[in-house]
Amino acid sequence: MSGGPDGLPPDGTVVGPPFPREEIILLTSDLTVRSGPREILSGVSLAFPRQKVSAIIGPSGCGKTTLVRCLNRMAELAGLTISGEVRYRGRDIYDPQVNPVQVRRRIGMVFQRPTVFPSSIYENVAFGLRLERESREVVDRGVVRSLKRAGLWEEVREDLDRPALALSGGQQQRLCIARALAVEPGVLLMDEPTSSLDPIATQKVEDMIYELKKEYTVIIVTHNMQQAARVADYTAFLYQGHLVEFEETRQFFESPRAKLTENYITGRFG
Amino acid sequence: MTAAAGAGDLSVDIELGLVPDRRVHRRVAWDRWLGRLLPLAFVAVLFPIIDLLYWIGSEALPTLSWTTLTTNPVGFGGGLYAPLTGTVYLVGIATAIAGTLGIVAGAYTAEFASPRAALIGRLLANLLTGTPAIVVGYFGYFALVLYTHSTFTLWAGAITLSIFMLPYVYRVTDAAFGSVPPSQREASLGAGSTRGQYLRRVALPIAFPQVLSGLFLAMAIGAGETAPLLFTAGWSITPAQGLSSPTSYLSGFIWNYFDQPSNLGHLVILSFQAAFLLIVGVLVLNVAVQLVAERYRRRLRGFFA
Ligand SMILES: Nc1ncnc2c1ncn2[C@@H]1O[C@H](COP(=O)(O)OP(=O)(O)OP(=O)(O)O)[C@@H](O)[C@H]1O
Ligand SMILES: [Mg+2]
Repeated sequence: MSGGPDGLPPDGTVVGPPFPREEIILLTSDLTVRSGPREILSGVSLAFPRQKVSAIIGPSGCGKTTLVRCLNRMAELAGLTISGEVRYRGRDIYDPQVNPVQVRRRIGMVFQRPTVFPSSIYENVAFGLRLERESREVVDRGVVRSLKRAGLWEEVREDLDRPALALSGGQQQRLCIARALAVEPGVLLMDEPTSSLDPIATQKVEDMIYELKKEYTVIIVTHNMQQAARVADYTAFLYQGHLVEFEETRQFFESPRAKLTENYITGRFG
Repeated sequence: MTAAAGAGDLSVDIELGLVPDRRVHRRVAWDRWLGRLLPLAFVAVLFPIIDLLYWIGSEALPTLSWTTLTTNPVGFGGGLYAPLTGTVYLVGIATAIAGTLGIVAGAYTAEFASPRAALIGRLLANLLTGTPAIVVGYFGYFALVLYTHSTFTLWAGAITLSIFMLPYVYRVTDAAFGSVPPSQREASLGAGSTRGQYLRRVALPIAFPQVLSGLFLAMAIGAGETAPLLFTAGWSITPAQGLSSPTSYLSGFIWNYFDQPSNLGHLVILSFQAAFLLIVGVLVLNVAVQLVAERYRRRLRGFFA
């Protein structure tokens, strides 16, 4: 294991608050990602607590997207080589016995840009449930419940059969969140979910995240430090593929341990 | 003139860049020329088509009637029932074969095949598209008529025709699935679908209008082909007795009778009518595909923006 660049903890060290074992839902250990010879993530070891919101921040290109895509085995679709471990409730999801499709059902994902399917609002939310051939009542109930959780129900309850593409960008993003929630995932990954939204739509998504953590574990990538401070219980700082710090959010922003973190949050680079 | 610039003061216009300079003049003049040339080109494209339609129509229409469609050719006259139904059977069976194989293979190439396999598939399809129809017919003759010790049959004709149509369906399907935005694939797989489920539930509805027009295009091309059929489906003036007997077909009728002396009944007129039916058939296919595709496209409005 090589040491990180200046000021970084050595690769593979678990950084941050020690959670009791039963609190940890997702854990990476010495996670390293390569694209050909290039290392995109270097020995990231990180434990995410259940039913909390964890934020991942860091300058553009530091590997945030790559990290969350490793957490539900999306990264390998882009031809990246992954080594190290990712454990979901103690089970290594990269074990050859584990089916990646199953992993992605348990660990849902919301992308930077809304990616609605060109079908009705109802069908978009029903997507995951239909894949499992659920009965009509189950699908109906799931759609309503997820739309409510995503804070979209009041706006679309009359229009479930209308094309999802007719919704505004902010509504589309909440629809994607509803779609991800419909299959009751254990963890919801969000990659900069508000970066293409206006402040009001952003506010709505943030409110919703706040509600979600009562039932779900949320891991959110964000460019925006204020957003991390507002929604996250814990915040991780990633720099050039290395994990610098993972801390309870208030502690993270008020008295970061690493000099690098302090420089970043005071806007001295990035 | 005072220093205070009034409306229409040229020096101000120059300062503001509002006076066209020589280069702008040239572009405007060029634009005007293009404006006259483009409609000319348009007419040049349309003229042969309209002339052709007029020529065939004026020969075919005066004596075209319902009986032409419902009676068999007899002697030097009669109708086009046998070739019409023959073409429908041939194209129908060939479409079923080429459609199934082409769509499955195209979807496979776009989603599952390794880059190298996809490259080879596309290359071979291009090669097959470029292969002269007569060569495909010759191949069909060897493989389906000589090799099986059979005679000319409707089967052999339909299969050979499907080989001819296959690359069109395949390439269009491959391109249609390939043009589905990658974000849809990620969203689908990210929601826990398998790749097969993605293809069927997400990609197919998006690719469908394009796949359908490819299929109809292949049908239109197939309907007009003569060469792949001559050595395989043979020729018959009576309706096909089944899949294992030779058959009649519209393009074959034209091929056989267009040059008969015109004092021999109205075989030449019948050839014109066969041509007319083929053109109308292609037209109907085109309109149908537009209508169906439009319904799907409406669903996709704002999607490819
Ligand atoms: N599929 C891939 N193939 C090759 N390189 C990749 C791939 N995906 C990401 N990278 C590289 O990995 C690095 C990290 O990318 P990543 O998208 O994870 O950064 P990020 O922190 O999410 O950036 P941003 O804040 O701009 O979204 C980048 O330099 C990128 O070029
Ligand atoms: Mg990113």
